[in-house]
Amino acid sequence: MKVLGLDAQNQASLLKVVILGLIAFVAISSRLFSIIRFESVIHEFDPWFNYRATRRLVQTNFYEFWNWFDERSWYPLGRVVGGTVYPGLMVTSATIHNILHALNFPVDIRNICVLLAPLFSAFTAIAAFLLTSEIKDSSAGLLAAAFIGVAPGYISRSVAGSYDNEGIAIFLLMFTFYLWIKSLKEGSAFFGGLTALFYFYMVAAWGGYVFIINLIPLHAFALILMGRFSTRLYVAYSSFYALGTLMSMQIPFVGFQPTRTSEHMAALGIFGLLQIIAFVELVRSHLASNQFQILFKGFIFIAFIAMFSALVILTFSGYIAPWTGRFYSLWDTGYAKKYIPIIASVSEHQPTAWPSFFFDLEMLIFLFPAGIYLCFKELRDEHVFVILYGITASYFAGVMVRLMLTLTPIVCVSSSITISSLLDNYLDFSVVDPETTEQKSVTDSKSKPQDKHKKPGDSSRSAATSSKSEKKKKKDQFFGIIGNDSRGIVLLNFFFFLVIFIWHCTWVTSNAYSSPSIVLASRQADGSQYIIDDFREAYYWLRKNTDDSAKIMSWWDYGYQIAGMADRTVLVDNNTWNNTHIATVGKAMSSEEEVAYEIMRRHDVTHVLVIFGGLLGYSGDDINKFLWMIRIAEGVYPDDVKETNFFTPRGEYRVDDEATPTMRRSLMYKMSYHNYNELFGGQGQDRVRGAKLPADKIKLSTLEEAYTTENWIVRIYKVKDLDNIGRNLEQAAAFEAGKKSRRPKRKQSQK
Amino acid sequence: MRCLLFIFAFVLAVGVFRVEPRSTTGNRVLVLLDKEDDKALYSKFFNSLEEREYQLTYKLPTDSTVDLFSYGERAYDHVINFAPKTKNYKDKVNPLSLLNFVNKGGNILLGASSELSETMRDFAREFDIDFDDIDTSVIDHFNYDISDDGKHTLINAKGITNNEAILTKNVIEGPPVLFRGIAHKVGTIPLLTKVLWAGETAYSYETKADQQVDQEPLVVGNKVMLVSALQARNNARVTFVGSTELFSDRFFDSPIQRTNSAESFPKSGNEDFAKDLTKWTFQEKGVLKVTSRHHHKENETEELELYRIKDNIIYTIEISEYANDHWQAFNGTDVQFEAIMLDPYIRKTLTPLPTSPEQQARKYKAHIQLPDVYGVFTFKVNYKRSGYSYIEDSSVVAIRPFRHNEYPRYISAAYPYYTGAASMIVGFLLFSAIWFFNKESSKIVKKKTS
Repeated sequence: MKVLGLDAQNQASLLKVVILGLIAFVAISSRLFSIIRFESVIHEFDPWFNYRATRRLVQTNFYEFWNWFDERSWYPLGRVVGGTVYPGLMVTSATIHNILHALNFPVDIRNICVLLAPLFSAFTAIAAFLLTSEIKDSSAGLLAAAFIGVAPGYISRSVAGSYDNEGIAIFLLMFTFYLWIKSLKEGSAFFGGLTALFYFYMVAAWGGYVFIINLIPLHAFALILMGRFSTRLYVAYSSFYALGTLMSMQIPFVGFQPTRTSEHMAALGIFGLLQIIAFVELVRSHLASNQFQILFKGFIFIAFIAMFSALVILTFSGYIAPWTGRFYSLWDTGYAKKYIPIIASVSEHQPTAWPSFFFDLEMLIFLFPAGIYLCFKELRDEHVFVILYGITASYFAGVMVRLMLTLTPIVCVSSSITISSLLDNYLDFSVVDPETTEQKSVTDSKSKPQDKHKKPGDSSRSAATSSKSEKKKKKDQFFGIIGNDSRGIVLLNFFFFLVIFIWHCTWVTSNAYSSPSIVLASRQADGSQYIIDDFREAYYWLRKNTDDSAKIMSWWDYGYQIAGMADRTVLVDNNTWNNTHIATVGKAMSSEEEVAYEIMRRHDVTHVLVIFGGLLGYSGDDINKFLWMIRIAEGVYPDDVKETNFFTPRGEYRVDDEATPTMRRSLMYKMSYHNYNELFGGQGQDRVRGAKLPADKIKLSTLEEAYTTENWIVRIYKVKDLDNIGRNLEQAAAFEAGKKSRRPKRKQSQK
Repeated sequence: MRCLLFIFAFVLAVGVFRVEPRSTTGNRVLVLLDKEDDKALYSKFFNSLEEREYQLTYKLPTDSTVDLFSYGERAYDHVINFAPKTKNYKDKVNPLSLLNFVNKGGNILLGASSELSETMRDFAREFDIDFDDIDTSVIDHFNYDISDDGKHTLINAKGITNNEAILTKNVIEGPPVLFRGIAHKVGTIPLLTKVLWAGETAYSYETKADQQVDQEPLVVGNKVMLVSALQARNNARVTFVGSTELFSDRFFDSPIQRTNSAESFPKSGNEDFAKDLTKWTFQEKGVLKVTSRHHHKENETEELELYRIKDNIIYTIEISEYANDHWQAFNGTDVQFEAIMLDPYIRKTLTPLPTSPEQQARKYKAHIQLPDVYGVFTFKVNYKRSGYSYIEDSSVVAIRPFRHNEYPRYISAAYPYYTGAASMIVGFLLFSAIWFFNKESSKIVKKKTS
């Protein structure tokens, strides 16, 4: 049958292209909720740094960016940005920007940054199509592309405005894996080289590249253990590893890590193992078998001992860094809480709750194991890969919320295999016949070819041939497992599931993942939308009303936003590279005014910024984060800050009348609630913690309130100068208030 | 013609009335007195000030028209408060406004007496200066002046600061200062300077007839302060004098002889002391300023905001001192440079360069190699010496690490890698050659065998 003058194969290709195009369109457009609801703005925290860095890259040039020493963050330490950043994302957007400008499309860099993640999600869909096509077939591929296009687990990190490394990294992850499977299948050094190239891009884009450099060796190792060593594997892995490692070392942030850290040792070990096995195979082909046995055993033994002892010696002598804390926390979820509070304090580093699997993946999470099962049934090399990827990624997704992101692609691939197999079986009317499946086990193979040619309509005739159980089969015609009726039920069911899936994905995207978090939205009583724009209000105030050299102290969460939106120097930011510096800020926040003042003077702080949600009921405020500040500060200054002092004797964390004296004297408490009672004309009511504040007035002598936003979410304080005539600031404030300092009464002398 | 005349008259007027203030702050002085008649008591003192081109305005603190500020700016440059007895200060002149006056750079000379009011006592206490209770006086039964009236409160000050930034040499070594008034105790804040104090045998107590000493005096011995001064962080100067009589015509002219001492002077040291003290308080001496500051890389001249670690830089600063009514080169030799990032990484004494007499400032210079640490550093000259105005000059620079192309290109540690790369190239070429060669030979071999 010819349509549009194309034969069947071309029609299929055309359809594929059209479908993929539609999937790409859906993927992009479902990520635009945030732009339509709010505006084209960069979201959250980390994207603000990426955006700021990209702007700098566009304004200067690549070498300036490469050597960028940022003196406006981590004051006074500064940050060597060029050497501590994954530049892939910035370079990608800058390249797009420059190409568009070269073509005379004057697109603002902000819009490119905002729309980069949706664009790459379309590419991800295509990469998922290619990967799944390699594993099963192109119809499964199309399903995988459709799933990944709308799966909330991926959308959560790639809505418009979410300008983060993950936005492009998932595409790179999928495409690298596709190329790896391709090169493994074909044993092609060319594809191996391409794998390495995209691996390099991935290294440049996201720290998650470690997943690739461990999963591919794991795959290779599993294949070796399964006795599937082949020259294809040898060529693919060797070309990938050698080129990929060399290229990855060009990224300054990675540098010599591939040769010096434990995370990369597995890849190196597998590389060595492959060489040994290849060598052994070579020797085997040239030697008699008993000679070979002796040589082989001896060789393996010596090689193993040598490599292992080399690894141990190098680790102990410090040439190979042991596992870092972040990786320990992947094995022991309690590790970070005990030893590295700064990692545990990040919400996306918490273990995943069960419902979030369903929330992010909906029905795919049920279809995922079935897909893995189907892979086991075939178990070609690429299926081993899917199984390994599935198992490791599910483990990691269980340990850390953010790693749901790496699980999502394989879940989509695996589920698409399930659904596609299911549809293959149930939609393929040409093959099926109730007897075929029924009789497979009973009848011998001779009836099979016969049945294969039968049309579904002929079933009654074939049934007549086997007269033994005619009656039973008659019944099966209507109620058999592959009868038209049950097909219909199953197909309708799955159609329903798919519709619900899309429904759910759209709902989640629209409701949960499209908030920019720098702008909050709520509903008023009449149902109209009320935009809470306190963050930008405060940052804009800082930008316009403080000196260019002002140094802002805030908790590290807001560092990138202040640098990006207010363009002011910050003490700490979301690049948490210096725990001590963060702990110092934590100490300032959790100490009394005098202690905090010393710290602030030493760091030349001019303004302090706190987030306070008590008036509005915004629960992500600094008082709720305060315990982490205390914990982090206690980790570095155990003598000065003690977490127990902030809990009431009954172990409660309170802000009302029963708050501990330490809590009430802490700078954070004072800054949050300063003048809050006056707003209520009596005792203030904290709507986040549902507490009534103590009635006594909060006195601040070392700081003065500089600005408080409309809904009191952001409060900015100015640090006072030293007193002009050398008093301490408390005395000075008391004198201003009209109190007189008196010397104690003269002592009576002894008579 | 008329026009020309007018201009002539104008120029003349400007020439006559243009007053070059001797003080670096200005020449408007507000004098607060308990009674208007008191002006006559200190006529010599006030005349000497007017001779030094100060414009004196006499007011009573109770006068509600007097205001230290007009439209938020200082209306006067200096305040002489010789009204110790007044209790009811009006809204516009009170401890709070006087403190604001200091915070805005005004200087205050405060004269106290045994009848010092509580208001001024509170004011002084803010400066960590504690005047003794009302009706107390400094008493010294061994060192009173021979003209004393029997209460032994007219004393010859024994201790005097030898700080030449405040007092000139002939005052320090000249005749003693005659003092009758209240004692005070100075606190520990480092901005305070002791100027004049009593002898070992002095103490502070009430002087009623047949007074019982049953309480411990506030201060005794040489802790009994007579005159002390505070230079605020903004360089405003506040001087506390325990006796307004010290400035009186009577004390200026009085001959002086300590009891139990043969040494006598026809005239007390009060007049010269008062002159020096007002000169210092009103910023006529001991005033320093930075006229310029520059830092640049060696062999360059441009001042940068971003240096590289281990850069060699030259730091220069020019400091000028106001003395003898003009700006001249400062003579200090202990000016230090600091490069600070949380802690000082470099501290170096700057070398004073020689100057010619007509130069108004001295240049201090140092060659500095920046530390091997990157970060944001503050280059600071923090020169605080008692009697001199404070110098705190800072400039913030960033020190960056090496750029990627600033590292040495070929280093010996990398020879293994170079060897590796070279051997790889050679090996590849060799292998290719052998491969080609072998193929042909094997073909030949094959042909031969077949």
